[in-house]
Amino acid sequence: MRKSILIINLLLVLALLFAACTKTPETPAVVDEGAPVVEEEATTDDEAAADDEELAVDDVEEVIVEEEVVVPAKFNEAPMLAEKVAAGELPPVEERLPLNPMVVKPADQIGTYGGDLRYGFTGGPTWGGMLYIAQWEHPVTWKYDFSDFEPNIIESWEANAEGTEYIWYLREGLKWSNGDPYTADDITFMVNDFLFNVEIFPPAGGGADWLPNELREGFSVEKIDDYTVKFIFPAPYGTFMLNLAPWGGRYFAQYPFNYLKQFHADYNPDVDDLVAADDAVEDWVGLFLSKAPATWGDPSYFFDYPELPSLGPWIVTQPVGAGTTLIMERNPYYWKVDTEGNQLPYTDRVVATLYQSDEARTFAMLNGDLDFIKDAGDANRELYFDAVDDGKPLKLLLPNYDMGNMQSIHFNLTTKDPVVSEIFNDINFRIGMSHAINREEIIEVVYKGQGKPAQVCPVESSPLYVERLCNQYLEFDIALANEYLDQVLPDKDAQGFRLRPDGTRFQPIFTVINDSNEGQHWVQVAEILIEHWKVVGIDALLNAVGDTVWNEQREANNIEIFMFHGGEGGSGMTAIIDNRWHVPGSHWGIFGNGWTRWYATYLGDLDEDAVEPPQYVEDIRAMYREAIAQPTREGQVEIMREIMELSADYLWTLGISRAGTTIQPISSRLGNVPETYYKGWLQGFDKILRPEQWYIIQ
Amino acid sequence: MWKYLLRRSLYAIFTVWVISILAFAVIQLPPGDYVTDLVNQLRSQAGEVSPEWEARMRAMYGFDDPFIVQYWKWIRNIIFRGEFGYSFFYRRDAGVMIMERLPMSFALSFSSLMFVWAVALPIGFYSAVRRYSMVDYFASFIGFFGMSIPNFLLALMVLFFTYKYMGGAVIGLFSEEYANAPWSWGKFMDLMSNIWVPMIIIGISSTAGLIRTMRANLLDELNKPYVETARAKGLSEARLLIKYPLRHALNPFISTIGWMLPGLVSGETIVSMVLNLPTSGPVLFNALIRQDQYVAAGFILMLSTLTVIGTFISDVALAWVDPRIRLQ
Repeated sequence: MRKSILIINLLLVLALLFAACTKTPETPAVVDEGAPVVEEEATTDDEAAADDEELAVDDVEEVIVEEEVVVPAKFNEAPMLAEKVAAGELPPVEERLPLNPMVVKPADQIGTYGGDLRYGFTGGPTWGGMLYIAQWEHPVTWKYDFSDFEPNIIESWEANAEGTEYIWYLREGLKWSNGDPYTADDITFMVNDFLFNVEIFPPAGGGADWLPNELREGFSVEKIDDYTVKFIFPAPYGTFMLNLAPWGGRYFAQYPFNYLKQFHADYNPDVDDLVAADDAVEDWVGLFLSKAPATWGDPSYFFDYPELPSLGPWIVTQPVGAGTTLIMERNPYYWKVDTEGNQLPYTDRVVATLYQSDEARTFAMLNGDLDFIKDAGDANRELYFDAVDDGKPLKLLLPNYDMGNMQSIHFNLTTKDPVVSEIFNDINFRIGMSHAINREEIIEVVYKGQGKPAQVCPVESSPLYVERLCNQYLEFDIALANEYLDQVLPDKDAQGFRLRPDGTRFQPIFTVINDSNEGQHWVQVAEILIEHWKVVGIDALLNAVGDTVWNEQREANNIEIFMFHGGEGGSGMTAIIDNRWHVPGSHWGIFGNGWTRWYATYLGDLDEDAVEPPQYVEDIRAMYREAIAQPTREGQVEIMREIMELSADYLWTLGISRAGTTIQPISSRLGNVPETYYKGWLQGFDKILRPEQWYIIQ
Repeated sequence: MWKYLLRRSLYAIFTVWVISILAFAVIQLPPGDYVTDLVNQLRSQAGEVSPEWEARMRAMYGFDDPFIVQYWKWIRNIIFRGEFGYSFFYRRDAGVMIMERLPMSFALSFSSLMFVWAVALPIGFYSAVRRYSMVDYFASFIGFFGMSIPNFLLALMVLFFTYKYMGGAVIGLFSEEYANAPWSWGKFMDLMSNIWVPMIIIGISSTAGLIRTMRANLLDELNKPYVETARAKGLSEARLLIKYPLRHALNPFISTIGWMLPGLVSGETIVSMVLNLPTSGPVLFNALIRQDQYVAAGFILMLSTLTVIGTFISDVALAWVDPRIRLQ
């Protein structure tokens, strides 16, 4: 029965993508109904253009952004806000909304105002799920079906032909949750006075994930007027906007200039008085970092400090603190409306309960005491199916994981022991290890029959799909595995285990994180792999460690074999955003951990654990820089596909299985939640479902 | 007696002082500190940080100071200002967090202790007096059963059975309406109506041990000549048992108050995590994982102090009950 669900889902997704692929020529016609918001200049559409759903940009200088919906003539608001307006506590809704608010088409129907969204989380509120509900408002956002991205905070943008200059047009009248306007100053302040401030980030200013290190020197941002901003990059950066739909875009919604300037020495000459009044800080930088989402754009500030203005649909009124409940109320200045002009969000509050353990949360969800939880856990699949059969007020959605694979197995090519490193660097070793894995068994035992054997690679529907990368060296064949391994480690001891060239038994250390929320099954998979490898004479030693210890071992490049999740980079263009399994030396590319440390030295401090990359790694990284520089999607795809071919040649990592569908339970009283969707980190998990337009069915 | 009390209180104060050093040192033992954690987060989320930045953060949080300076700053603030420092993870005052959670832990541990006594005493007594009876066997069986099931498993089973057969899992200490309400009579009653589940789960494993101790002690006493003598003098059986051997057998109950408390508190942690109780255990656990050192050290100090106080009380009580101890 589950298999058939899987197949139906796959068919659905394929159908969607097929529809998306073929729609290109008709697109402008669709936009024509009603008065389009953004002036259009017909996008050119050679049929050869865009092998997928993306913006078709060829020689045109402007990227045209289409909005499929019209801004309604009249706006409505929630009764709880109307009361405040009547009492004179709030300006009327027309003044709170931007002139041109973002119009969200409800997934199903126009919702009704009111009610509490009951959410359950474990760990901290931010990563426990609130981030994906109440923050994650970026300059651009994904469409529901993940087919493309569209403007979100900003109204529109244009780029020059080379992809070195971008101009953003902001939504006039868009406001932070305290009523301050969102203008060009918020953006220039974030870049010039926060990121590039040498006092906050000594000695040379900080970096951000939307700004590649290579492009940092010579980058600038200019305010043209209050609602127009220009970004100038020293070299082409074709994937700039694409990088802002996922996590990288958060910076633009986190630094409210009007509020934060009081804590900044450049804007407040009397800042020392504030420092003196605060016991916990010793200088203005300390003060600033305690008030602004510090360091890496940490969004958890929004859930701890109700006074920090936000652009999210709900704002915190009661932080969780040492208690167990976090309460958020609707943001009266939220800048999105539905197609009938009703200001979003529909639900009045979000009431989020902290659970100390996943079991307690699971029981609450099973019982229908919660409306939504993040990561219900595939291990609980049966429980949820049974609960639905028992008539609990639940619905089960079956989203598709956006993943390159369920796991990625890394043989650290830069590991410290020169003997081990040499063995790992022999591709025959990696091929042999791949053939020794019985993937069907792992899928059956650990993934509950969901998935199919594959290496780490984009899915079939992605323009970056390379068949060979996905399917090579998959067959489970002991003889073949031995044949490959014999070329590398021919000698065996009395127990049949292979020996290093120096005559001792080859016992690589297999490090696995054992306390990761997303990887509750990782150790189980690793144990099975170790058994599989024993059969072909490789005696790997399991090193199951907590996250902290693993981070230290990674820092010191003290990793031999390692297993992690399969990363993003499954559907669409995501592999160009998340390149870590295909471009050596990237963050979290543990197979080249020493190289990663090498490339992390743009600030000039050479790490003693860094390993100088060989020329072929340099070449691939140069290709990747070339790929993200391409102003057109086809250009990006073309170079990325070459990188994928090289990834197949080098077999950087081994995969186990394609990600199957996962489960997402929701309470049956929750309306406007799309039935199937792409779920993943780049999509902002639940944010792609637009929680602001969920409503409580009365 | 006064001399005894004075000596005991001096010991107690000295012990607390040593514990405070140990607590602070143990928290710092694992490699790295909160800045390491921060840098790891930064590296995994956004990119690299310069060593200068890392050094500045360390200086800002005072992690650069030698151990003795850090310890002095910490203990000075606790003693003279009642401040426990700052929670890096929760970004709020550590003392407030400790004070919010500790009373709940204490209430839970104390009620569990009461439960253990209320159950173990009479059963142990009965088992000793009616040795090898059906009731003795049954009580021993239940006791060992309780002892051999880890309490988190018991908690999970209770969760599942209440979910499956009672229409809703028993989770937490308060109903939804009272969880965030200020203290009131209604909230107290609500707490009382919810506390019995964790109370039994936490207490049940200690119960078995205490039943056995009670039974064994009483059996030792029952065969002593003074019991025979009393019986020969014609004292009624009930009066005899309660007046003489039972008093002797009670000693271990009193002397174990001190070390039963930490046992209950640590048992509380994992049960609280499973049942989602707002007690100190889960917060302490998270603080240890995340190197949130002031919260962790503060909790350890407070819990240790409570244990020392518990031991002190039990020593005093024992001396009061049993003159032999006073005289030593």
